[in-house]
Amino acid sequence: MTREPEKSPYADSLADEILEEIRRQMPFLYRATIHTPAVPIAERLPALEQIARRLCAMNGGARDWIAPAVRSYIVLSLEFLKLQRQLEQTGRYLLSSEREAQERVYNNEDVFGGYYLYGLLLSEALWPNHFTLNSHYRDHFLPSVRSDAHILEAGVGTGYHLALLLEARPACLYEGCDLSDYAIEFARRFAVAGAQKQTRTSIHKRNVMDGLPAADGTYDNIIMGEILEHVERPDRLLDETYRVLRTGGTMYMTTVVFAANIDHIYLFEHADEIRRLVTSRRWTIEKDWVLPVYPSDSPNAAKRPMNYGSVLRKPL
Amino acid sequence: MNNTEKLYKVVADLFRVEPAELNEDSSQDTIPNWDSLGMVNLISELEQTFGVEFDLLEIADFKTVGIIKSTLADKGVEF
Repeated sequence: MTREPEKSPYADSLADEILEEIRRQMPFLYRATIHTPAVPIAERLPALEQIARRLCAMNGGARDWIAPAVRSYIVLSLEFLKLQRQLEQTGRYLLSSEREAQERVYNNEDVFGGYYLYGLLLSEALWPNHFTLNSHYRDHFLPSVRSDAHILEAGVGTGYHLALLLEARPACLYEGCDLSDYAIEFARRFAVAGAQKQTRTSIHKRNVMDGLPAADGTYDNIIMGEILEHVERPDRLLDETYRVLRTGGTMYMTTVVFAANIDHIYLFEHADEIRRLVTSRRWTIEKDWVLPVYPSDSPNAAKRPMNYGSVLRKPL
Repeated sequence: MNNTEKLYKVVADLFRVEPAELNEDSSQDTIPNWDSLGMVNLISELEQTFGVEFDLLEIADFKTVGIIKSTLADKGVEF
């Protein structure tokens, strides 16, 4: 049985152009991207449009970034599917050390300098779980951040969290760190150069696992999006962020359960493992969310891919 | 069975279409069952059947049966 090509119902904004380009390059992924009843595409389009406008500005107003960015999104999505299959067969992530991840991913021109960051950025709006966690970040974390708060972001990545932060709290004092030159340059161009006003931001090349050059209790809030699964000792990362946060301060933290990516190292097999780890390092969980990648899975399932998000507090 | 017939059989079995309905223009647009899981199974089946390995950038071009055939040919599979 065959059928006529499916036409995109979207046709007049940057977000629509992106969807149309996905449909053109990889029709099955277009269908998978838009047919997600849990978070209808119409809800995700404003976030995609916002990302696209910043990317347009970052590329001098031209639109020639759209096709390669969409290809990056396709490669990232296919990579997840392929690596997830391997994970289900072997029970292990592809890499097991931070050193391997640095060599093969963060400092690799073909990966971080190539498809990874653009693909990840589009996934922030297009992958339902990324979109939902970003909505929680905006609705449950940012409102609690003071306008002049001193903020640390451990692992800046694309700069997407920073961009949302600067829109909500443009006067905050922000320090970010990342160990990839590609990510730092990308985040500066995407989030800082695209900000509406002068900002008080600095981004440094630094591995949080080496320790942070900050006194105890320096920061009011911390952002740590999808970093825990990238390190060999997430307990140490939770301890170091705890140390530099002020008592009573909060951290927005996300990670994944049994969800493969090229640079994932530490494997959580159940959301409760994350909860136990976090509370064992003295944090309290204010709110958390467990989002199965496949809607038919229960959030309580073991060894199924899920995204995890939380607001953690350093208790008084 | 020649390699073209093997390729069409893999695609037909995975996506539940008749081999006779397939040609090099058959694509994700025209095969309704070509979804995410099907794509992963397709890669795995092709790698096993033809003894090759694909990289991600090659897979990212797998939009039609003809493109898959041409990628296999580039890897030394004779058609």
